[in-house]
Parts: sequence; structure tokens; C-alpha cells
Amino acid sequence: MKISGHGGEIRNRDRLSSLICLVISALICFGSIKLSLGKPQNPGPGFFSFIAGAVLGILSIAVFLQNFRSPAKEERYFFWLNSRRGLKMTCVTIALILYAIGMHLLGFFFSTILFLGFLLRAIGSQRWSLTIYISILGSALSYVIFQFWLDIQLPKGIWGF
Amino acid sequence: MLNDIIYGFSVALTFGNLFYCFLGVLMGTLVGVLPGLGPVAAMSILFTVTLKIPPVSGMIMLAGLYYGAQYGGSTTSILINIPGEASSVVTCFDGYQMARQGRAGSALGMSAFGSFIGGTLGVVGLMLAAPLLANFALKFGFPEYFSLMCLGLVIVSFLAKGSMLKAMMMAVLGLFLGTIGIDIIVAKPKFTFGIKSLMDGLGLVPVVMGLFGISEVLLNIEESLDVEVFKTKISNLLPTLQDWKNSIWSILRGTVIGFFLGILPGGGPLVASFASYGVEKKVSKHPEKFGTGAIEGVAGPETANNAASAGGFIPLLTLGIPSNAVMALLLGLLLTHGVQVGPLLLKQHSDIFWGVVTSMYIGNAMLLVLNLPLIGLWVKVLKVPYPILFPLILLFCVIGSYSLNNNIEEVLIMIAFGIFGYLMKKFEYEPAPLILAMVLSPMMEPALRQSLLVSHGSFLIFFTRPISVTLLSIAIILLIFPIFLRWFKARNG
Repeated sequence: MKISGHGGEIRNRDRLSSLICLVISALICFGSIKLSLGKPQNPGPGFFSFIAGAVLGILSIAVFLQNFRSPAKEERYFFWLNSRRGLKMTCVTIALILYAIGMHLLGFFFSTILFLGFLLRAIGSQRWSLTIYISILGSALSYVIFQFWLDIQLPKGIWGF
Repeated sequence: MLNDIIYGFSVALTFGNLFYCFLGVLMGTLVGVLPGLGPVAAMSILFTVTLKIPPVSGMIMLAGLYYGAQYGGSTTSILINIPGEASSVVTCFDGYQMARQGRAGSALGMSAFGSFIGGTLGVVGLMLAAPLLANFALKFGFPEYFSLMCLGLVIVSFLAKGSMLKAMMMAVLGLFLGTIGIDIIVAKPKFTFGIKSLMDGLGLVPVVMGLFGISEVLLNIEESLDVEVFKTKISNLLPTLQDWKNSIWSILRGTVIGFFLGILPGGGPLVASFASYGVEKKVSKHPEKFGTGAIEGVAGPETANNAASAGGFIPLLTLGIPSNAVMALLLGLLLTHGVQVGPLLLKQHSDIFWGVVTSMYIGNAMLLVLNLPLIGLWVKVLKVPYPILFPLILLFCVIGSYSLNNNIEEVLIMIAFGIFGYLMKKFEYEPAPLILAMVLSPMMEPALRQSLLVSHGSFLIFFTRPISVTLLSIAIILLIFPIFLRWFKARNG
């Protein structure tokens, strides 16, 4: 199994994913035992999740073995179709996280302008004029619709709105 | 039953519910037309809105969005060879070819009429079958419910596009995710890791938005979406007599196939449309014409996917068990409003049942009116470039998650599931079994524990009660079937 290469080449993704699921199942079973399994006559809070974890483990092993038995299916698979686009995708994810965290600091309105602006310009490669127009309009419209019409309390930042 | 239908219309025909029905079908058509935003993600974004209106209005709106998306999805399939919805994939095969031959109008028109007929007849089937099934389900106890839910998850995995084993892995993982929160019997936190947001369990809406909304955007950013709308004058939206002659039996077959496949967990519009296409090609006198612009290849699947969307309501409204991710969201809506789901829904909340069912007649009629004259508008909407669309989709997802409880942690959960959903798609795991299982888990766990309490710890209780053993036997047969098939094929070389 190998994760390497330009753009992220992965071989045997089923083997990798099934091993990850096996580790998850072990963690689930361990956590369930800590919660207490109880007895069949009086199942404890960890009973059901332990069964789920155990079944997940068995299925993971089955997928792993199924893949292992047929090595001819080994494939070269690029995790990202294109590393530039993969980078864009990573930037979007980071932008989402920063947007979520930054909303409380800057408030919904300004953080949304920055968020939309970044996505439109840096990721979408839109013209500056269009970027500014849509960022401000989108932010303002969402604010009006959700805050005033739907009465949803959007985060207020240090500016008070 | 006539009294119930009249009562249902009295609920559905109020000004407020008519407005929400119209809003739902309009947004559903828009969602169906726009690639990159599916009905599940759109419904989860609107979920917050439904918390502020009566449950029947919320159900009517979200139901309208669901079957509206089936109408809208065919527009992009026919005009640009890109399905707006997964259930419109097969419409690309012949619909786009018809457009290239200058018959886009016929394709769009027949698609709309077929959808209307399938949707309406599907609602008739729902109206007739649901009360019977609800009466039967009154005999269910905890063991029967547990076995039924097990069967549901096995069927979802069986019908999965890819590997059944991998689908089952996601289902079981979903069962675990559904246990997160406070234990209802001993009031002990389970797998919350001290995070306050998790005390009430993992929210369905952030998880769905992440798995279906955010992950789809991340995948689309990776792929280039340079689409060209087919430049043709769209005229003659009314199908000709010959078109009707060629399509009528396809429409009737599509209705039956779609309705029954829609009832099955994991069935739904996608499976129904593929099944209908397969059947039409099989029974056709000219199967070689399929893929070159055969109108039956449009009429049948488009009818089937709308009939399936009606059929999908049956397990939800009669048993309280969702058959797909959309129904899981609707179940979440009912539970949030404190509505007890199950066979007693019909008796205790007849306004919800009959109001939603009759609103579907109205919604299907609205959609026929919306889809035909407004084709030009939908074509303009298609021209909105995706680099402008996706930031707005992400924005609505964030607002939708945040607004549930004014909690940033729910947004972070959504983003985490967005990344998880992206990885799932890369590794070819399906998200639908996970969502279904996550919704069923809080019902399955108490059903299992109560059954074992009653039987003093004996699992035989599931095999000694006739309905329960029947359901489990079907589940076991479905589990063994692929192994048997593989052995049979290997034996015969």
C-alpha cells in the first residue's frame, strides 16, 4: 500500500479504508466496554454501540480480505484529479473553518463578505467588480432574510451587528 | 376514506399551506435544475424555516421540494446532458439525443406530463395503501420494530450502487453515530467527549448538510464544470399524438415500478428510474433505438422517479421508518415538533397525514404549470456559472447549521462531516445507509433493549414471533444471496 506521487497516488483504497474502519471499530468497542455492556437480561448503555462496533470490525476484515484475495485489482488511483484543484478544495475547507470561527468575532455581515469574496476571487477566479458586488449583496440579502424575516439570531461581532 | 380526503383538502387548501406548497415545489424545481445542489442538502438548509411554522406546513413544503426536484432534474439532463438529480441520469441517455434532433420540446413536455401522471397516481397508491399498512403495523411490538429496522438497513445495503459490504459498513457506522448523546435509560453521556453540542446527540441536519451539501461542493471544485447549454429553440412543448401513443404504456409501467420500488428502503427515485429504463428497453420492439432518442426512454424513467417519491412516503407515514435520506429529514422534522410517528400518526395527527397527501395532488398540478411555461426561465438559471453558485451554497449550509441552535459547534460538525463525506465518495462509500441508520439508531436501541428485558436476555424472542421471524428471514436471505450468486457463477465457470 502506498500513498505517494504527484496529486496523491493511492493504491488499494479499499484496503486502506477497511483498515481505518477496523481501527474505528476497535475504538468503538473499547469505549462501549468502558460505558458498561450490562448483561443480555439488562443491557447497559454500551451494549448496542458494542454490537455496532463489533459488526463494523467484522465487515472491515471481510472487505480487507476480499481485496487481499484479488491482487490483480490493484490500481493506481489519483486521490485528486489535479493537484491544483485539490489545493483549491483544501483552501475552501480551511476558509469554511475560519469563517465559522471568525463569525463570532467579526459578526455575520463582515465575515460573510470576506468569506464570499475569498471564494469568488481566489477560488472562482471572478473579476474584482463582480466579487465585490456579489459579496456585499449576498451578505446583505442573507442578513436581511435570515435576521429580520426568519428571525434567526445571527452572530454579532465586535461591531454589534 | 372520502371524508378523510375532503378533510385533507381542507387542510391543504388553506392560504398558508398553498403558499408553502408553492414555495416548496418552486424551490424543488430550482434545486432539480441546478447541478451541485440536491434535494437532501436543500431540505436541510430549509429545515430551520420549518421549525417556525406548523409541522403540517413544514412537511408540505419539504415534500414539495422533494418531488419538485424530480421534475427539475430532467431539464438539465435533456438540455445539457448533465443530470440535475441522480434520478435523472437515465433521462440523459435519450433526452439529450432528442434535444440534438430538435425535439427538446417533446422531451421536456413528455417528461413533465409523465412526472405529473406518475406523481399523481403514486399519491393515489399512497392514499390507498397507507391506511391498510398502518392498521397492520398496530400489531408490531418492540421485537417486530427492531427486526423491521434491521431489514430496512439490509435492503438499503442490498440496493446500494457499489459494494454491499461497504454499504453495510456505513449503515453500522451510522448506528453507532446515532448512539451519541445521553443514554435514555441511565442518563449517562455516551461518546460525547465533554462536548455540549453532542449531549443531545449528533444533529441530523449538520450531518446531512455536510455529507450531501459540503462534500458535493468540494468534489465539484475538483472537477471542471464547463457546461454548454444546448442552443436550440425550444418549441412545441405539448407532445404529439404519436408521442403519446409511443409513451403511454411506458408511463403506466413506470408508475407501477416506481411506486413499489419507492416503498423499499434504499429504493427511491434513483433505483426506480434505472429499473424503468431497463424494463422499457427489454419490452421494446426496437431496443436498438434506446440511446438514440427513444421517447419511451424519457417517459418511463421520469414517471417512475415521481411515482417512487410518492411511494417513499408510505414507510414514513405508516411505520415511522424512513426509506431514504429525504424521509429521514422529514422524520427529523416531525420528531422536532414533538409529533409521535408510527402507525398511530394516521389517527392522532390525521391533519398531517391527509394534509400532506392531498397537498401532493396540488403540488403535482403546480409543477406541471411551473415546468412547461417556465422552461425558458430555468434555462437562464442554468447559465449561472458554478464558481458563483458554490459560495452561495456554502453560505446557506453554514447559516442552516448555525441557525438550528445558534451554535458554532454545529457548523464545525457540519464541516467535519463534509470532509468525511468527501473522503467517503473518494473511497466509494455511500452516505445514504449511514444517514438512514443514524436516524433509526435511537429507535433501534430501545427496541432491542426492551425486547431483551421482556425476554429475560434471550435473543430467541426475535425468532419466535411470526412477524419478527419473517422479517429477519428476508434479511438473512438478502445477506446470503450475493454469496450464493457468486458461488453459483464460480461453479458454472
